[in-house]
Amino acid sequence: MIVTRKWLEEFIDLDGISTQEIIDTLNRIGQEVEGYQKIEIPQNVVVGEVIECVKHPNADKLNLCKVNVGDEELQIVCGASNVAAGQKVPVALIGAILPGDFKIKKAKLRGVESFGMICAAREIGLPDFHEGILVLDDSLGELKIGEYVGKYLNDEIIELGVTANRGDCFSIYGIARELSAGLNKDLKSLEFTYEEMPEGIGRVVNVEKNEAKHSSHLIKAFEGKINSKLKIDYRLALIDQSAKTNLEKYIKYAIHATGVLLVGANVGNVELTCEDGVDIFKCYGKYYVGIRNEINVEETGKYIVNANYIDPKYVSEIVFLKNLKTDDYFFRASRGSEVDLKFGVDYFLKEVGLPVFSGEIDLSNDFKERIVNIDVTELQSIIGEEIEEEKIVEILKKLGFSIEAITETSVKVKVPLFRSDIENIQDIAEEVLRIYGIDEIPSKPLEFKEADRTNEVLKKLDFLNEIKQKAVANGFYEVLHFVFDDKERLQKFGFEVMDEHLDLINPIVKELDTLRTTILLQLLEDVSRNRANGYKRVYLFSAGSVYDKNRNEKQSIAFVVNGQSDYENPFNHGKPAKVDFKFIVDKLAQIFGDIKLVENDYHPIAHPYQSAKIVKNSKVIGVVAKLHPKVAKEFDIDDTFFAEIDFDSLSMVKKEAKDIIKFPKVTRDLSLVVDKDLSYKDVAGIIDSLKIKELKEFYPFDIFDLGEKNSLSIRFVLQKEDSTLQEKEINDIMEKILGALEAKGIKLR
Amino acid sequence: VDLSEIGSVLNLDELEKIRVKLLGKNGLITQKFKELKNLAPEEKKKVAKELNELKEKALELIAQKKAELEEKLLEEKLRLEKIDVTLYNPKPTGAIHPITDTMNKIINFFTRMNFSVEVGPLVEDDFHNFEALNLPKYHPARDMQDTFYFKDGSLLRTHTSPVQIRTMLKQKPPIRMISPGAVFRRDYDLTHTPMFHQVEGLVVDEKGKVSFANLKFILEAFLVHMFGDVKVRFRPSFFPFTEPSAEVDISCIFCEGKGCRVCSHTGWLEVLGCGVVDPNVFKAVGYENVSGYAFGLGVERFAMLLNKINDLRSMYEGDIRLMEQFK
Repeated sequence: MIVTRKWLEEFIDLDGISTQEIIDTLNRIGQEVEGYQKIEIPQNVVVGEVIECVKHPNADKLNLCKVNVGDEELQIVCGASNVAAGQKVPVALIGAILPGDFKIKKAKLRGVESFGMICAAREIGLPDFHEGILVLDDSLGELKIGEYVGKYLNDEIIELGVTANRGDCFSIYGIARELSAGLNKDLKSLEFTYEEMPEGIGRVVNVEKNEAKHSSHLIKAFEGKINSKLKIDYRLALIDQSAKTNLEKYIKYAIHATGVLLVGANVGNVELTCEDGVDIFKCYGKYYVGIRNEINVEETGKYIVNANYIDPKYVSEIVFLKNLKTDDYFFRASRGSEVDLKFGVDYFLKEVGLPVFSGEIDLSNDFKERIVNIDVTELQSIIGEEIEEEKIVEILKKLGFSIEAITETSVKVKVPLFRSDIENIQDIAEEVLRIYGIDEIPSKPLEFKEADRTNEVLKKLDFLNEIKQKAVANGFYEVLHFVFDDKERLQKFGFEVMDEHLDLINPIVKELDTLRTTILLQLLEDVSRNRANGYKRVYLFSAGSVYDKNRNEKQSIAFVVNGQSDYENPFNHGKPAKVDFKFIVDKLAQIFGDIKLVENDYHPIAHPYQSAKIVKNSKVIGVVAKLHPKVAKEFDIDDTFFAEIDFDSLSMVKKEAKDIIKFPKVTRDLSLVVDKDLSYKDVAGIIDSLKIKELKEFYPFDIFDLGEKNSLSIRFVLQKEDSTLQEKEINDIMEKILGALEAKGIKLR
Repeated sequence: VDLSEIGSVLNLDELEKIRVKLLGKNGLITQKFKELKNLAPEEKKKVAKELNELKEKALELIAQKKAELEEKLLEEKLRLEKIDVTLYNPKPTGAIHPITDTMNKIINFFTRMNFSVEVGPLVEDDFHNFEALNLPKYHPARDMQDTFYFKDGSLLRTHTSPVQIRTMLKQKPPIRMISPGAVFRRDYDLTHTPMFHQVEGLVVDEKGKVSFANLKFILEAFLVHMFGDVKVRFRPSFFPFTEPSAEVDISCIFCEGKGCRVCSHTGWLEVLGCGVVDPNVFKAVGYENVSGYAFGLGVERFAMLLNKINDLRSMYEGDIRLMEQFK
């Protein structure tokens, strides 16, 4: 919503109030100022009257003008085709400096001297709203020859972000009314006069049927040729609006000024009916909510102007239910337009300045004003400050509320119709608060009963943060993604996708047309981008929601590593090893603690022979694998390893300590000859099945190729809880292990 | 006996030789002790005393020298182990995302103020996201939030406010909660991403207890906690679920309120929306005789201001060029 200071001054006296004060007041009372611009015509641009205008003797396209600028007559060469004798125009005198540091000097144009410049609007810093030079008229004040043009055209523009509940503020008048309350200053009382003809409106308009139940209409008619004028054109340009016809210009102007919805048309060109008992206006067979002005209008003849108001709740609901096409008029109607129809019509007719048929057609519905009863104590407790009843009444009166009854503890008010947003005491509290001033309300700490408000959500959040911190300490960058993904891409790489009947209706782009079922593809994309940016160590993780085909939400945390396992330095001679399976598994263990790997059958983007399930506390928590080279190629990246962990499967296990065993640990190694396709898991299984109490731990520590078979070395850690192991006991245990292995055909090397 | 040669010894071997020469089995001093028996008792006592002193002296000098030489030897050995430490400047990787970091700072403030943390699903229904929050289907304020819909009528939540509704339906007042999380709007340009993060707060207590003045207190404390010594300004505004409502500005942290590009030369930065809970919201969850306040903020906005990140979208591009600045 754009207002200008001079336009506001039509409705409220702002003498002695700076524009900064106006801006501060508007912000303070909840009309957010989003922009401000000062329109100032350069000095030495004055009103001149073109006395004579002839063709330039040496140039077809130039005119030679004699211009009266008050104390002298200047000879000025002008190139505009619309310049003519009798016009009043802005003249930049010698010495004037126009926008773009354009200095006006005495000049010789094709052999003729020129003492100044006749200007177009754009040349004196105004919006470009007309062709040729700017022709002035008396609509912005009676022109005085030689006067500084800024006296008529200087203005200040304030742009406001009117909130959705304040339809009453979509007009200059509405904002003036707000200022009236904010500045505690009365609005001007306005009178609109225009010439009335003896002929009545009945001669030109008939209403055949009126079934409007939710709207009011006021119709008047007038006759003549509608002429444009500078004030209208200029101000429409300042509020960034344009119109095709002169009638439309006045309609838009009057709507913006008064907030009353208006429609104008030639008599005979518009048919006014109400359909199905629904108050929708019909123009040329098309249904619109609100009224459109896109009607072919002749510039002269007989016209009607219809001011209307429709119940905003009703129009919003009916448009939603019938899914009707809407426009700017609907926007105003649905947010609540001005209800004083006569005010809008009269303002319009006065500006048009043509003779009006006497009388009017009044199709008013009686909209009942809401009554709200205000318990003063309750209002005070909502705000948290004891604002006096007297003050409350004063504020509400300024805002157009009328007081129905007052007692010592309560006030009954009638809500003006233009405030369709006010329904209850809290709405009233807002009005009082914003005019009283939030700054005037002291901050007060709330007294409340303390309670244990730590819950499972917080514990889980702390746990997630702990994991994130460990990931960071292990060199991973956290990255964030949208929970959207590209369905086609997910399918292409073999991931589950959401069932069609559960999927998004209105995705923003094709690449984000479904909810993701994995974070991995987004991470791979990031790897690709960072590699392209020259990063050689790309270790990323991301945590967030993923979905299954039934759109069940779960929390996932995914990791990816690519490139070098270390940075280039003198000690690896600039050739650090590449990341490998061990690299990512070690990192995961540092982050998630005691994890074990078991073989994995299938993962859509994994290398089929380098893929494992991750087990923690005997539960599968996720997967770790090398990226399938075919997939890596699709993302244009080299060896990449990834893991995706189901966060919900991680349980926060309570940790319990056992007594420390004081007797020494003993280690023994065995080197075995094993078949090449034998999994270590099978060897371990044989040893585990012996259930040797003293065997605290065993692990593989070397493997190498013997040709047909492999040599596998295993280290055993033995310990007794109640005594030191004797050599014989150790030998017996090792014999037992070896025996079991030999029974399965695994021999000592 | 000359002890001065101990002082000029250059290595441990020479020192050992001198020790043997003086104190060995046949050493000069040992020899003199042996000769003691030939002296008269008076003489013997005197010479023995002198000899003992000499021996003490010799031992002390040798020990001293030994320590000195050993120290020198160690120093030589250590010198050979010298490395150029300036070659070892590390290149760490890894950082927490600024949005997570900011979110945690916000959560920490409110949990320390005895707020609970609540969460809810991202895929919501019309009731929790709109209807219960005083946004009937045809309400013009729905225009403010362009929504993603699913074929079964569900939607992606456009704010974290549905968690308020879920919590109120699940718990009895008093309530003191925040709900952090991702929210979604159909908007994708320089200053909008289709997903972003909010933290929502709600306090509910008996009727007449919770006021706008209480809201001012907690938010002023919160904003000073987050941004340091800033001025806080409340401007009346409109939200369907609160009444009275306000937007909250802080004095610009870049120009200290003088006016700059970031604050559009106003000296203020808008950071929060808040208000007293609208009675229609309480009605929707069946609460009676209560009062409350609510507030909501965009985490991205806070992260950008706190970390001077200029490009919103860069935070969702997994870009190490941005992330490595937060190591």
